[in-house]
Amino acid sequence: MTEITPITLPKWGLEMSEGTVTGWHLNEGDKAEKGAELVDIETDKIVNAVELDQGGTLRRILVPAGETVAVGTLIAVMADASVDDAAIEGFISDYKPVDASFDPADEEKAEAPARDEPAAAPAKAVKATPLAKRAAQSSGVDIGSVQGTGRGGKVMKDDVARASGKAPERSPDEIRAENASVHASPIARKFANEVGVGLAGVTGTGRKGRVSLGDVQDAAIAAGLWTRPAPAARGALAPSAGPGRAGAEQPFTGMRKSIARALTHSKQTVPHFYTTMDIEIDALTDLRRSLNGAAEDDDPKVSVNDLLLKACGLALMKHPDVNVHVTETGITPYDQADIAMAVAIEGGLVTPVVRNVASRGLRDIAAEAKDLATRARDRSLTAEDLSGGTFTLSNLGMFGVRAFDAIVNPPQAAILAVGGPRREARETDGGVGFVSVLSVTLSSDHRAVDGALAAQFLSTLKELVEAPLKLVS
Amino acid sequence: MQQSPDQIRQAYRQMRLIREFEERLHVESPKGEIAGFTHLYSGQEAIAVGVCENLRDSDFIISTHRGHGHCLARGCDPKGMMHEIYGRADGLGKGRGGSMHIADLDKGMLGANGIVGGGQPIAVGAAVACKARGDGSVSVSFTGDGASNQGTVFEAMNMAVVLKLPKVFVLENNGYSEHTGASYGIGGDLKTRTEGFGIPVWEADGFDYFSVYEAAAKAIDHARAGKGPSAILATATRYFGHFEGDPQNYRAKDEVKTFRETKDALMQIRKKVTGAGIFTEEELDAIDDEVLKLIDASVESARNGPVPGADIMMSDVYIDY
Amino acid sequence: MAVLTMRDALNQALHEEMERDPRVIVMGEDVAGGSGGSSGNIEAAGGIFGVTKGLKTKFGADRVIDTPISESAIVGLANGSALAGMRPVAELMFADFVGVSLDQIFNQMAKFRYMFGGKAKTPVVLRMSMGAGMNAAAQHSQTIYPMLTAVPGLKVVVPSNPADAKGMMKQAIRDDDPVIFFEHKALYSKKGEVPDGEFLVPFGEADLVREGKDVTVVALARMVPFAMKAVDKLAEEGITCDLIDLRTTSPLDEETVLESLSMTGRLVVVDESNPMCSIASEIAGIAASKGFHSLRAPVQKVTAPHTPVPFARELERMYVPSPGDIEAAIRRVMEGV
Repeated sequence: MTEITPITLPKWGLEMSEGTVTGWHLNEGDKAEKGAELVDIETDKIVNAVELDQGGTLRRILVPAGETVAVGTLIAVMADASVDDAAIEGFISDYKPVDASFDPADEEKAEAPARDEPAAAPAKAVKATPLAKRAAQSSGVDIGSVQGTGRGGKVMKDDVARASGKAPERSPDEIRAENASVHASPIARKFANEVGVGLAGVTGTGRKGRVSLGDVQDAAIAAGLWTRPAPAARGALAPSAGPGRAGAEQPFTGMRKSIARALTHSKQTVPHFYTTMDIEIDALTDLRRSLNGAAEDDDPKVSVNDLLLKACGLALMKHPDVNVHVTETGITPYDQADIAMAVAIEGGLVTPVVRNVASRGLRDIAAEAKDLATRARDRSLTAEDLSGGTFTLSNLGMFGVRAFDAIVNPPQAAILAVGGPRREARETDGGVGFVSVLSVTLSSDHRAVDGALAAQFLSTLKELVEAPLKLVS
Repeated sequence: MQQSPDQIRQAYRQMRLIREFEERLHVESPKGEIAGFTHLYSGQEAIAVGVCENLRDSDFIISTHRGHGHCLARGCDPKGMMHEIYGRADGLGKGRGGSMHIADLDKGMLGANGIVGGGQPIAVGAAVACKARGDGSVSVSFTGDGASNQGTVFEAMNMAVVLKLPKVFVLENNGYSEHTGASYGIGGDLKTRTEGFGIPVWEADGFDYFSVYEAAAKAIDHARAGKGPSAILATATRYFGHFEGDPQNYRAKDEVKTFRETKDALMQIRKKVTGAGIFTEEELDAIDDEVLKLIDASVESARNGPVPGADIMMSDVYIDY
Repeated sequence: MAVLTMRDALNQALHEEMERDPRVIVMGEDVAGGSGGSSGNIEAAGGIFGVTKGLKTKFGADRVIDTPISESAIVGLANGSALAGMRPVAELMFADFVGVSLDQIFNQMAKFRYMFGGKAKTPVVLRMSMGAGMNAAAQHSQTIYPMLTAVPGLKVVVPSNPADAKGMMKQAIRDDDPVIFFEHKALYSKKGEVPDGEFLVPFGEADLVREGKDVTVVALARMVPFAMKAVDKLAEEGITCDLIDLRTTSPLDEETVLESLSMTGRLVVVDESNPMCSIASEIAGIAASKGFHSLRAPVQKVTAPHTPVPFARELERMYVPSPGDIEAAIRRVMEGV
């Protein structure tokens, strides 16, 4: 065997970077078989013996007992006796140990990657996005010569592409990369990446020209990349609506179905408009208190709602063009105010009608309203109770609602939505006083009622409520 | 379960390849050229090969920190692996991963894994993909006795059952979780635990290729047939320490020697195959020679392989950034 | 005073504290090792890095608990036993395994006291090895102290030498808050003088390792000896630096940094972690917000690059900030660019 075998300081495990030779089992010139123990090595964790993985003669010991050397250091040389000493010396002097050390070199790394450090300002600063710089580098374009189209002449990636004679690439990845540097909302950028819109060409309408989702959608439609999906009908909501659902879909009850049908039809076909008026009601509540205070025990109590019914009746008589039915073909006037009142019941709402409100007394109205409401909750209303109203009053004031917009109940032409009372400061002579105020909103069918008429109706109503004596006369 | 001579030759070669790959690393490791952690699979060859010989190209496997055997059994290139273990720029992981992170996605090999128990949930995910593809593919995870005490493994098992996935759990009990005996660390037993999830378990002698092959065939067929996850429990030992350099003070001096002399997987397959007259000793020796030459060439090539530079360190952190 | 490796200094602290206080218990994978093995040696490992050696022999299996590989349950063990009155020292072996047990750390132990009306005490010490330098690759080499420093309720300790390691381990065990104790694996074998017996290092007090007038250099853990090399080399040329070893990142001794900065006007921060949201960025941020008028040059951060820790020797050496990188940063800050 003419082969020379190096024996190096072994690496035993992750941590070992050096070891101490504590004793040699063989002397130079000894011959040994595979598996024989050659030398003991100590680390700061263990002492262990190095066993020969092939037989041979120990020709040189290079590290005497007691010395500590690095992993990979040549500590001995094995070779057959036939190998001459010059060859052994040559092998030793040429031997390049493995560098198994853990510490990085003391010098700054020549090849080191860019560390996180502020870049030194270049002598002639070129304003360019990082992507543009990278693109310029890879395409060999001198970025200093590129005309920038970004803010303040900043060179963008597309500018580099144009300068390199290539049309801006439009692969999805390219678009993504390009979009990353455009001032856009995250959702707009996400959408743009998904449908493949390059944001560089989209004009932003947001603050400081930020591209919004709407801007991208418009651009996507213009480019034929996307169409606006039709709004899903409520009932068609996917059953996988996921968390938050409290149960399986319930089919519409008869009542809900008729509400759904009537109001969907109204909201979709009737041209609604809304007018809101604030009305002070301190006088009205004073009146109510005195009426109820003077009432006999079996007289029905008059509510604010009853007073409003009456006021609406009178206002309708003053503005008969509101007291109408509207159909596809025309407008039918009515000569008495039959006012439907919305009553919430379990599972929906019903609108029983108080007839001829304008001509009846308050206690009479109160009694009938009370009776209708009771029967509504008992579900004992007749078809007649529900038919033929010329106007609707819907009052959510008792729930603390400030104001709301109701949907006209066809063929009626208008509905009044009443919010709850609130205290408001008003300038009075020489100071500030507090008054109770209601907001009422009239929803009108524009086919029959114009804005001015709605406003006049509300003014009349306001006068009647704020000076309510007419309600009892 | 009938196997053709070609299949058996292939299995023997794969086992020999793993054995020689690992034995050679055990010799090379102390020389200092190989950095970091090296966990060797010697002793458990029959398990990786017995399972992987049942797999199709479209299947997936995921491995552990002791991953060389699984990689080789799945057909990863030994030279590419050796280059990776030596930290070379042209290794399977470009020198960035090392012994503990060898992977080859082209081979459906989803990686060795440095986190004990980290691979099993990932393999469940691959099983979701197999099920979605509907081509009868399966996803196989190798799990040691140590990892089987990780919550991730229980979660993976339960999820695979709940979703009725084509997922095969290969539980390899080599007797030790790092430096602690498996008998100390495992409450109950691995078979009952797994069956507790409703997963059928086929047991095998992890030293016996034919035993593992049969168990794996049944378990994999079960999963392929859409009947939900299955498991193989195979027991063997590792011939070397938890990692190279482990002084193994927890082991009796002659434990490994006894296993090598009485149970060794290569010894067993040779005895069975020559005894049955399928191959002669000379035919198997020829395979051994070919494998040894391949390992020599791989080590020589890896020792002289290209050193990775800054460009390699700084790339592939993202696809695009 | 004895000269010990950091491994032995930590081991000494554990021995002393377990002797002093019977409530101190130790737990983790292979903290003793060997249970169930065929050799019958029930202390075959003493911790994979040898930090817990000799404890089981001396204090028994009830106080030195070998666990299965179940990181989440290991930290849970520490949490529950702490709430119930013990003073556990749990080992996670590698800091990377925080990933397996993060819930127990940042949702549970960090928040008990706050959520439970100030009544709970969680005197857990969670030890773990960290850091690049041994080619243990991407899942066994990370320095994740910035992540845990960001969690209110956790104290975070990053010793750079054997004496501090001992003094802070003893302090950590006696501290009533949960303490994450990061031990850099490349420092375990480094030697230094360690005071005998009772020796505590308080948390939140940085150490001024070198005094100078030109530049403030802030470092921690393994970066401290590296920075020392750079600072000492430059001192020969007449560039002198304050070198501050933070020792704990939570609590963080801002005052020492700002005071030094007010005298030097130049700041170099050295951190082995990835650059984003690192201790280096935190210190640079503090300088920008509280020391702005002292700054005479841009703050220089010396960190690892924004990549996982690579395996190959050549790559890992490139990854870890070197004494040369620190020296270059000090020169840059002196030039004011």
